[in-house]
Amino acid sequence: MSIFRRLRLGTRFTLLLLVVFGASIAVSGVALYRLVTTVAVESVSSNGLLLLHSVNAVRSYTAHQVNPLLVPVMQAQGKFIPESVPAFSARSVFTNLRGDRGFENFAYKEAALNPTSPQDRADAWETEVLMRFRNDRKLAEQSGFRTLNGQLVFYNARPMVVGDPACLVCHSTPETAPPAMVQRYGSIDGFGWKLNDVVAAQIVYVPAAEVYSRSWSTWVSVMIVTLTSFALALLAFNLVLGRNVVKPIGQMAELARRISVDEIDEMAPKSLATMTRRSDELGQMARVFERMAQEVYAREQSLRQQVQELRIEIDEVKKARQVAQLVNTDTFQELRAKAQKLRQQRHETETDIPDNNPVSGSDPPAQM
Amino acid sequence: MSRVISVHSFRGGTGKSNTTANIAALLAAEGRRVCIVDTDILSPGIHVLFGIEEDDVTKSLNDYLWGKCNIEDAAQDVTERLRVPLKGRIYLVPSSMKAGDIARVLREGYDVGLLNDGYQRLLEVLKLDVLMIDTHPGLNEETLLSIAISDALAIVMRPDSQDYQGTAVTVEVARKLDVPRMLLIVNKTPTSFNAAEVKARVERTFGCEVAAVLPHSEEMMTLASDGVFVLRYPNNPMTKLLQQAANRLMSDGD
Repeated sequence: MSIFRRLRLGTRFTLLLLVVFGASIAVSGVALYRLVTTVAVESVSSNGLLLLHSVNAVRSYTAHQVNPLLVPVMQAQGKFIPESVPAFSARSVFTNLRGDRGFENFAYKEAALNPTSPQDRADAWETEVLMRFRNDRKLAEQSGFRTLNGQLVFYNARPMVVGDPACLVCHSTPETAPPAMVQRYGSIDGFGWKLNDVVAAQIVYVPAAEVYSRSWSTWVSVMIVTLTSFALALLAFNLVLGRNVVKPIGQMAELARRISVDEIDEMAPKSLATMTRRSDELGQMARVFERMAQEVYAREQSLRQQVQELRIEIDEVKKARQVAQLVNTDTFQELRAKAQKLRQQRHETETDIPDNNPVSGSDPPAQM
Repeated sequence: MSRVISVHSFRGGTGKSNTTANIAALLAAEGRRVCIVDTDILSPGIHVLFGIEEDDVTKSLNDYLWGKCNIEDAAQDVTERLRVPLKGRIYLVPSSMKAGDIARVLREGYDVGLLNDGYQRLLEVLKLDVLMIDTHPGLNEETLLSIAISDALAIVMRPDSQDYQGTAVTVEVARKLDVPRMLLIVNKTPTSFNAAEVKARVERTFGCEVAAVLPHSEEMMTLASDGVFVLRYPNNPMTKLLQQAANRLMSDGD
């Protein structure tokens, strides 16, 4: 605190403002960062959710509208048509989506431990997601971030349950499955499913890195604007303070100093001329100060005048009478005669016997 | 060789005691042994500057003059009271501050001759270099004695019409007493006065050297009332002027 008090006025204000600005920038920076992050997460997650619902709509369309049309065809021709399978249509629609510009990094997977198509086999991370669904049947959705092929992605996952006995036509045993399908995918994978099993985790991956970097750059630009405006405010404040407060006070202090060391001249009060025209409080003060300096100068001048008029007047007649009254007495004449002798005597005594004590032999008195 | 210096003023209120104390301090600072005798028995005051109060005085000049003690018993070493290390020493023989004692002096008076014996004894017993006598204003018998036996006399005056006539008389009387060295100190000079001009004018009027023209200001008054100024403010211009006055008093003339 004492160091703070020793600082100049301008520095003190600047420091104070810096502290206030610094604190408000820190608080608003953190708040803003949280906000943009939340917005980014919401944006990717709503994208993911939308895709998941779209994919499910496609699946449902395939299962309920396309499949019934194709089953008689497959039976008649004795061949397997993959377009009849909901998973196939979902994957195909998604593949088309990825072909569009800006959607290259979106991904969709029905991750299963025992899929019919090897493309759907769950990796280690996806297995964990699937196991969580299996262990907790009430868990309806999982979402969050993961790194996929070196990129930050947001995932949205839902459990896939074997809810329709019709599914088991293709997924119980190779014997009951359509021969054309077994011929195409083999008799090992994708069998042995049971009704109500969680066989897969349906996962949509939405790229997040870009959204994140966008929100980061939003944050940075807002912070730059804030910092710049604070810096400008500080600069402007300092300029205004310096011009309108510190400099005028300095001028008044200088005038006061000159008055105190008696350096004042006729021109001195005029040093405040520009300030006295101001209508604010300092202008008012400057006018008072100017008037005061003028008064001091005027008084000084009149005193100087007086010193020139200083006359020492002595009434010589009266003086002679007064001296005579004192001098023309016997006592005075005696004293006069004695005085010189006494002085002489003293100096002689001193040189002759410096240690002689006429009254008693006592030592010099001790300090009291 | 020791030196007896009387400091006198015709009227009170000239700052005589203050000047005495400051010059004594400057002389002691140069390594001298100095004793101040307050002979202003009717209105003692110099003890205040050394921080001495009524209770600190067990024996005073009054006791000596009434034959109750030796004069050296009334001398107090006040060097330590100044709280500034000095090479020399300062003693003070105070006058009694008791109203009864003052009344007794007024009623009975005292043997003026004893004063001279006392000075003599102080010089010897305390092995003094300088004895300074703070006199009573006016020109009564004991003051005339002190002036008469002095080696140097400093007359303190203000540049004030009330002081001119009396100072002129004092100068004339001192001259008739053949005081070897006489100097004027113009004190409490308003700062608006030109010091050199005042010095020249006073010297011309009184035909006597002016040792110093000391300025007067409110600030100085505030500082001076509380202790010995020259020791507290060794670099103040006022101190330089007092030093100059001290030097002139110790010199034997040009």
